[in-house]
Amino acid sequence: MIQISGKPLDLQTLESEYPRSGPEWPILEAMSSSRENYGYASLDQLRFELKMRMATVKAARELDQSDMDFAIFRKSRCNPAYWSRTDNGGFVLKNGVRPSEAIRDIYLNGSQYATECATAMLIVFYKAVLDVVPDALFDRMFPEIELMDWRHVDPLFRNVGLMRSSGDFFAGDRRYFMNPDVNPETPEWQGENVIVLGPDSYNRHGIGIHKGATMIRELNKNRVGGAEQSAYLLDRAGRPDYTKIWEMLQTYHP
Amino acid sequence: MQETGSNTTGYLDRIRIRSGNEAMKAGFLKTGQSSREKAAAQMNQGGLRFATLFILWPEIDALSLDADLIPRNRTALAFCRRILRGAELSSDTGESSSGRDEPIHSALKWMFLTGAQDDGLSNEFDQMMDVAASHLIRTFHDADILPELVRMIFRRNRKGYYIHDLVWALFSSRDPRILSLIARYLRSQGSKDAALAAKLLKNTPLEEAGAAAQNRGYAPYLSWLSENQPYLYFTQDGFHQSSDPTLCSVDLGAKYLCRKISPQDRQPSDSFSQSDYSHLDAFRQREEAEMALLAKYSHRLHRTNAAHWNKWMEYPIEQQIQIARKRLGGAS
Repeated sequence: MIQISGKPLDLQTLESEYPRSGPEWPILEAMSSSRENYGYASLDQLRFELKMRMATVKAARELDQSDMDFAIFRKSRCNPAYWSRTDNGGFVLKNGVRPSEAIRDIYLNGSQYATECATAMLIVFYKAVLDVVPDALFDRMFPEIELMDWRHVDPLFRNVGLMRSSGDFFAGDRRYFMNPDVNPETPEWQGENVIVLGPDSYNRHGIGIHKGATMIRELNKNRVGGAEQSAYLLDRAGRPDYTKIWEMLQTYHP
Repeated sequence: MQETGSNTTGYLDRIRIRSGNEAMKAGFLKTGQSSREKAAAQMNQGGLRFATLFILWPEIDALSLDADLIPRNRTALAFCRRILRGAELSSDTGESSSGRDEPIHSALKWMFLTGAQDDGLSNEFDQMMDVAASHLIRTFHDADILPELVRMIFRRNRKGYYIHDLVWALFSSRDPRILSLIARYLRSQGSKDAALAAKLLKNTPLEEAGAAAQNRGYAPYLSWLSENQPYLYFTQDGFHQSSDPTLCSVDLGAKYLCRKISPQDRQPSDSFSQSDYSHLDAFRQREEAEMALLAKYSHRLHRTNAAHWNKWMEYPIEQQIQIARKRLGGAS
């Protein structure tokens, strides 16, 4: 159920704001009918999470349309005007560069970038925040950025990296397809980090936007000969700290 | 199995070490242009290291020396072409495309064990180390390389190099021996070593001890490992999917029943009886802390007095908890 200030939310009251045919409605409906308690301090806070989730979906679609390539960490590349490439294949924000401009550059000059799906997921979440908060606040929130894997995540994205078991999945979640029998020569296919775009719709950097069955088929093509176990989708979800981001936005004064 | 390495250093390796890569390449090319047989003989010497073969790959191609190489060297080069250039292994080099044959195993082992000392040579060379390791572990289940694999991971980590695929290969072995190999780095003076060891050994008493105590945690860890080893299993978690993966965990139910499980698939060595399942049903309804308490007490009682353990197991679970709490002082 959804609770606002401890009181159950009547979903009908939001129908004019979020039409049933819109992308937010399935999220509201799933939260409302869930056995989990989705609690918010105010209706505005719920609106903010929905806005963030839609921004995440948009950022994922835009990255898919960008010219950024897929590359294993050993062959990753980035625009040296904004980022330093580390010895392990990650990107670190250069000194004196505005974080907001550096993230935006990935979308504007995608052809200068190539990386694995875990880094791409982080880029998507940074871009989603950038699209909903002022640039100056974004720069203050993320003065240092390291884009690599889930070992190097900002505290605001800690739960994106950890992923928790969940019975509910919504647009804007990060999820993971596991490929246990992957070919040892292609460890990059050991699994897929994806963004949920909507019901049974996933975006993975380098593969594009597909249904779950297609993602599994692609992973299964990269198994070792004689493999017995199919790839599968984990029942875990990774989500940014929407509450904290909301609070930072509320207390922001330019 | 073919010879995988030699303690002696080959002629070409000595030149490389003494005079550098470029001098070795120039000398080898000059030798090959005057006598292909002599160049092939140098390349086929017993003590050759993989790094030397890898560095001379362009010269071998330029001299069309493939056919004159011993099978191990041909297989290693064919493997490099396949991984780094996308070429298929072919029957004319004596390799099967399945990648599971003994000559391939032998060549990969030579590549990894003689290449380890040159790890860091180049991105492509290190990638070959990664692939050789993952094939040796996942395809050939070769545990001989585990100590060197652990050393390589920590060496790379100190330099900030890429370790994901090596860590993935290491834990794919699902061999509990890797835990004590990793634990040795808890004693390291280097903070990067101790931090990585603690990260890889997550879900152990190290977490309870706190970060400051981690570099002093070697002995407690070994004690913990000794107690829990029969009940350990490896998960499918990894850094590819999680910022804090649980790579290995303890099956508390198995520990409560004092029944050894397979670290590979978490299956008990001997099937559980109806009575075991009844005990487990009651056990699994308890809180996590109570399950940990029961498992620890059960294991210790079983080890010291099997007759008392049999009696204790017949008590209702509430009474078991009461006794365990009293004897262990509430410790979990």
